Amino acid sequence: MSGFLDRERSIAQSGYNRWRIPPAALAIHLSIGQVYAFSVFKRPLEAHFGTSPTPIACIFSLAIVILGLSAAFGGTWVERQGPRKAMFVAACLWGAGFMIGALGIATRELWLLYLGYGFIGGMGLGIAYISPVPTLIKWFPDRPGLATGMAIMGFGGGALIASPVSIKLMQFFQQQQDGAVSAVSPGDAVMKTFLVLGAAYFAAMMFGAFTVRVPPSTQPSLAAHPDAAAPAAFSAARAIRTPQFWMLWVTLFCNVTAGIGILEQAAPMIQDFFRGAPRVNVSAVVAGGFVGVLSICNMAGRFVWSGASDVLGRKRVYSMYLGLGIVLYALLALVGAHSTVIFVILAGAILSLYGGGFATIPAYIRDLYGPFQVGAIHGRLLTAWSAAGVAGPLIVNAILQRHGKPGALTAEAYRPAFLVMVGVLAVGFAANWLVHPVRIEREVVK
Amino acid sequence: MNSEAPVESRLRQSRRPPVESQLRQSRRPPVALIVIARNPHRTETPARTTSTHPRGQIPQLIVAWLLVGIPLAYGIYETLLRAAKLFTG
Repeated sequence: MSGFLDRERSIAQSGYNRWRIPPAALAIHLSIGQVYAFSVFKRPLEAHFGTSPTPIACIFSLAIVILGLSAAFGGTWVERQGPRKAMFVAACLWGAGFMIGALGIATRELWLLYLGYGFIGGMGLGIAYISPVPTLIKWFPDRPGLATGMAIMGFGGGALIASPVSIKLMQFFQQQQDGAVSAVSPGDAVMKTFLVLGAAYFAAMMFGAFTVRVPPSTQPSLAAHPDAAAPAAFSAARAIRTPQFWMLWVTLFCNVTAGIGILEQAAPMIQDFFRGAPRVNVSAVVAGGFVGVLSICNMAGRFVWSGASDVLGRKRVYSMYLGLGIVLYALLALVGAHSTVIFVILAGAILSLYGGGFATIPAYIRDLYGPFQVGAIHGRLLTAWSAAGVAGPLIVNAILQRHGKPGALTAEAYRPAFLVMVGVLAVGFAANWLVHPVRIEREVVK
Repeated sequence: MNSEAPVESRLRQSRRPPVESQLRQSRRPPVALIVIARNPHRTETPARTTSTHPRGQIPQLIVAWLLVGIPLAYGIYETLLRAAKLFTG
């Protein structure tokens, strides 16, 4: 089995159709994208464990932190072992995370949920997130942005699938048990949903693991492209010693911080913005629709903007993400409260740029450091995501708390937070401007 | 005079820097060598894999895209239904 998972056993024969690789990558990212739909379990788990929202929310936060750490520390291992073994291990960890989590729900042991979904599942998330990226870049040297955009779009799209499926599964198991459906699903239904999801995601990720192939050196699409000969040969250890890596880190951190600023508060934000406005009544259901629009914009941005970066250039497209983000955030602060349509368009555009930033970064890394250890460097750069995941909500909540509680505020309360985000994006814009090609001769060839 | 021109041209050509020096100036050859030297796993020659005849791959290609495309389309459809409430109230 181990032999079958080795890199050498997953090398494609010459003539292998490279368009079979993106579905393998998508299967992985669609599976792990479930983590963004964890909120559907929040209320049932709070009721089941009889706890406040914070301990349940911490399960999600733990998973995201472990994602960043395992991507950072496991990146080099993923590069060495190849995508098949990495995807296989990630599938085992992600599936086991659900199973151990289900055991925790069944036995009412919350720590098992932390260990399973948060820690073990989180490790699976990190390895799975980076595992298809280097392979895609090698298969699509002519369109690296498009290729990684397709895969990372799956991470945004995974929640779109997991959210309705999880709700329907919980309702199904509850109906089987009680013969009726209540507003909050019982723990037994959540436990069974975890088991089904764990098995389904394990199978889907196995499909990815067994479909993925490493390109052979004789692949025509690689040989034909001028970039195929590799612009550089930077290891992850060397890359993090260059100032360009840290400029990229700051750029990604600022882009993600600004996006999370909206994502985290999306539902209460739209209600607060139009509270008391004539002829406008934004209910909780409508606010849920707004979150859905943002999810689609986030997903579409990953694919569209990352694909566009192949034509426009990586530095230019990041300047657009951050520069346009500054304008959109300023407009949201100044004229967002005038109409719901303007508000939704501006917020949706900001979220599309946020998604684009995530999806374009692997191609940016390849441009700077070559395809040698893209996955390992990408993994280390994802610590910016973890840091932004803490900083973004912290900044917004600290500002909003001066005015009251989100869900009971007005548009004026959000303005200072948005203007701070304009500043954050300006810092990111400057950092991106300072990213220059790495001097390969000086760094490597002596 | 005319006969000297080609000779001078040949001399100019011979004044080019030695190959080793060219390699130092050029990016790609030394870098590629370093890649191979540092990472012996990258000797990527085809191993035992499934049939890769282009025509034989088309059904597998369609099935693979359907397997990921159908769930994604379902997710987008469900989300659009939810998002429609934003505009219909």
